[in-house]
Amino acid sequence: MNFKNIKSFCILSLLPFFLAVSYAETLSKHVIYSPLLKKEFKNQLNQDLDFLYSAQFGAYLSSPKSNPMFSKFFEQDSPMVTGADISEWIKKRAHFVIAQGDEKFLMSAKENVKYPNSKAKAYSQEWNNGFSAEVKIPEKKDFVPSKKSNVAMTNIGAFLYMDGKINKNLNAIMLPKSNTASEFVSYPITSPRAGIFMMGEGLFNPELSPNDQKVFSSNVANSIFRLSILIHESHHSDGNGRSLCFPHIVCPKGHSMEGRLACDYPVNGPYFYSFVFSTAMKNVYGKDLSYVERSILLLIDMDAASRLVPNDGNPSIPSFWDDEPEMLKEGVIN
Amino acid sequence: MKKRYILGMAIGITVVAATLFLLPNYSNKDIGDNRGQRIGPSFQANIKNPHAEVATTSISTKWKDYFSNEKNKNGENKVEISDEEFNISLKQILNEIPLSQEIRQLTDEELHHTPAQLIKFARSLGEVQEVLYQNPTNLKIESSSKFYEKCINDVEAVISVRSLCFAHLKNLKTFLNDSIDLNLYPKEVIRIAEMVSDEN
Repeated sequence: MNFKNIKSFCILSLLPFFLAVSYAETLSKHVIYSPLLKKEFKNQLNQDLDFLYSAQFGAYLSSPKSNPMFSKFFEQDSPMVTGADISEWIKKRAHFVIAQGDEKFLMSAKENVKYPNSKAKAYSQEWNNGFSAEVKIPEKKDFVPSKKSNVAMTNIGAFLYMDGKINKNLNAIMLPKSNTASEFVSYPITSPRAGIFMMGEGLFNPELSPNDQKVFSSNVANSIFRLSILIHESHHSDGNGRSLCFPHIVCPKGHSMEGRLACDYPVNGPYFYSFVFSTAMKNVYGKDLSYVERSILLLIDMDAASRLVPNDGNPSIPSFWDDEPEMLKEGVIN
Repeated sequence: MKKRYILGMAIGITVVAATLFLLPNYSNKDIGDNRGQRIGPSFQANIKNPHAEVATTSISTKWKDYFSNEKNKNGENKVEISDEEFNISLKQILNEIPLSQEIRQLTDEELHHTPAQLIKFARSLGEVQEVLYQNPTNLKIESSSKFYEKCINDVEAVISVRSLCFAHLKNLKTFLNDSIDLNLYPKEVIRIAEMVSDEN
């Protein structure tokens, strides 16, 4: 056997191994889970992420019914978006999934911190549909969902960054170093892309799930429901200055949720992101949904669609917000 | 030479299979919380429990039996829902239609994603479809059409729920090879329903 043959032998032998390792790396090892999270929650979310990673949208994208925003929102290298592209999109925005109780490990790491775009007033504060002079920005206590609630998931990383910016503090939180290590480290929240999501019971609440009998399974409808919420929350990790964290705006008069911070102006807001994602997933994987599953997913999409309200009163607020994340300058932490 | 390549691949696959089998499932592995004592301020939320406010479905026992039977879920009906029973259930479901005024009272965190009250109503609408299409008698078709009409035109109901009723009515019309007159229904209800085609 000459050298060339040995080389080919080695490459071929190791190829499946490398493929398998890179696959595992992509799907399971990125998100770090709090040890306080229930094991079945972690398993199910991993299963959903695996499902997403393998999703293919070729037929949907070539269909005239496809939403052009789908490629615009999730495109990585090519407009032919795949589940791997959407996984990559999430990877940039979601790093930790924590549980109720982890908020005890929040701390203020530094005071008098100078944040970028500190004078920019959020779009959501600028335009409040005439309900109040100033829209109340959530405080730290608002980020932690009540224990027995229907709350599915909250992107507390984004809002802790916002909170730090308002109070000129650097917030930090103690989280596991990895899923395998027992060591915990302090993560300073230097960007809305901190990607710290607090999972509530609502994500796995049978009453909220399209299929209430198969919450912990490979049920497609339930996976679409959970992944849509993950997409929505991930998008709160975007933005800078006036668009920081893509906050919701007050719903206008006459809206079903008038006066509440539950609507979006920008077409690229979190509600439309989850809407576009969910309709694409349903198109590809929704052929065998039951009447009940289909009805609930339709309602969720219609609810999201109804929250995108026209910006007919303030032309200074654009239809598309800048989603580039802002970041504290290096050296601020030390 | 060809044999060596095949042997190489076989060894590689065996190594990968053995490695994957022996590797612990890291993501599911429970680890101890060694963060020790509290190091920062505790931020406790003082938010009421929204779960307590979700009313239980008050539709008929027979209806509940129908959907608690696993065989029915698989399309093998054993429990027959009469036209009268169907009609009564529709009235009861309509009484629980989520109203905008109620939804506005929910906390911010409950409103952030689709509230439980809306999902509960959508579940009931799905159940209506299941019973209706299982045995679409003329009376069932007539009563469900009226039910959808009332839901669509209820100006106090949440807009997304009204749009869902419109989508279900449109489905029924398609099933009957009939068309829907768009001029009869509120534009905003149609706009939202059309954004989310049921064919998607």
